[in-house]
Amino acid sequence: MSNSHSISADKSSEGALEQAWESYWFLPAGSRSLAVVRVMTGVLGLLLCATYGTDISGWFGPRGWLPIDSVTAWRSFFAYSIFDACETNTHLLVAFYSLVSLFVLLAIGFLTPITSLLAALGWASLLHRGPMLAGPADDSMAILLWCLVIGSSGEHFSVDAILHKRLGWHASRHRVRTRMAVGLLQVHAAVISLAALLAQLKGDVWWNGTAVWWIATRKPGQVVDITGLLSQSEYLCNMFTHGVIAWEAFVAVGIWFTFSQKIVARAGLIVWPIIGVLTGCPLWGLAMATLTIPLTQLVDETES
Amino acid sequence: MFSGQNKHSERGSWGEIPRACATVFLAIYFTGLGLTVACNTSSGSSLLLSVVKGKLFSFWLVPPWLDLGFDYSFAYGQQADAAHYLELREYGKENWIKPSYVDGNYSQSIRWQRLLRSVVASEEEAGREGLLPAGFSEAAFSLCDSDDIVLRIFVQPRPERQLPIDNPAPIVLYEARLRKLVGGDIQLIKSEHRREVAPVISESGGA
Repeated sequence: MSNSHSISADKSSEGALEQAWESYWFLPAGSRSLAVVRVMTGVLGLLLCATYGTDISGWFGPRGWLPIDSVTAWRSFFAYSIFDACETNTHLLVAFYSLVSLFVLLAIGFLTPITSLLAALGWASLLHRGPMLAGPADDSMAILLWCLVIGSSGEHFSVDAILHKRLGWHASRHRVRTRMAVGLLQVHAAVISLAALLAQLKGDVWWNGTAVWWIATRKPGQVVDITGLLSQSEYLCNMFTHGVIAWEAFVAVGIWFTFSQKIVARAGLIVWPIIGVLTGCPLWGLAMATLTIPLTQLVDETES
Repeated sequence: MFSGQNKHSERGSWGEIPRACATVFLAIYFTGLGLTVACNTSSGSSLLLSVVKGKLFSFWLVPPWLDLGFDYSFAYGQQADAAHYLELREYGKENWIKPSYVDGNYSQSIRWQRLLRSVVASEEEAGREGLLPAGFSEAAFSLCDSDDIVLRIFVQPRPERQLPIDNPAPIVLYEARLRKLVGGDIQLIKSEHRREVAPVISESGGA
């Protein structure tokens, strides 16, 4: 009797797990929030391209700081970059500004399925051309772009949507692949927060509350000088440091529960950029806020 | 796992086989994602995990993104995460040239900081020693207007929070002479700085 009970309990838990998995990944979803992610990703891409400076040939040109031979010997065996084929400054500039143009097209939503794929490939190429230059925002940007390739992000707030309406083509609809893209954004937001948290907790300065001080005193790359503020109060310095840790832990866990998900995502729109400034990576903060946009439920997903 | 056609209509447009394929792909991808976090470079990793990741996942996970493992520690309060600077001079001359973009505006200097840290860190990695500094040669020769130069990377140690914000003496982490040989090859001669060593114990003083 007890045996049959345990078998039925196993079956019901297996069924519940299956149900949860299926509804999480395969329930068709609307794409308005993913369209907002697309616009933000396009803008973020432009900002990140700007961090390479106006003179890309100074980095990767034939007489640049990172010639192709030393980079190919340094980077992973599996890496490949379209920029490897650019042997002159002109070719390099054409490739780079093509990528910049792709981010503009992505932001405005023109030929989105093609643009998002080319932007993802172009961005991965740029990172592999100089992997030692890449940081947290670049890494997160690649994730955002691949999620846009999977989901349908051009059906709203885009040139594509205007053209489709004028030409009387198919209206936007809920899609499984959009749900998968949103699910992947959520998984990566949690994984990145958790991985950052684990990396930070290996250092004493994150335990004794002085990490933000060490970041703030790093002059090059500084966005806002808060050393004066931090030197006045040790409590404030500790509060900022512990706040970063607490927030990352809150996101890694809270993003999975219905009651806390919306709070985490909405608060993240403000907190992540602040964390970005405190950790010296404002664009990373912006990328993390973008990852959780669909979970804020600020955008109405009902199709007209 | 996916049973019943009636459920299909509730779930929208994907049939059983595409959903099964997607499930398998997601499971494989999440395993790879877990390994990238577990094997991220500066945290160290077990040989077993590195081999599994290298053989099964790296070839398709590295190309679309960098496989950095999201190892965002930002600061450990050590020399490695202090501000790095680059200086160059023509060999035999005294005055150092400091490229302005290294510690210029936020956008460019953040990438320069990563590059200089990579140069210093890669000196400890087998097979990567000297690769990046040697690659600097053309740009550095052109900046110094000479084919025989000295390049150095130093850090500006940061003060403790309780101390006044003065600038302590910089610490040179890497210094090398770069010169172009007759055939066009680049020769890199690394300067070894004096390191702390254990005191010499004379025989008479020994046990």
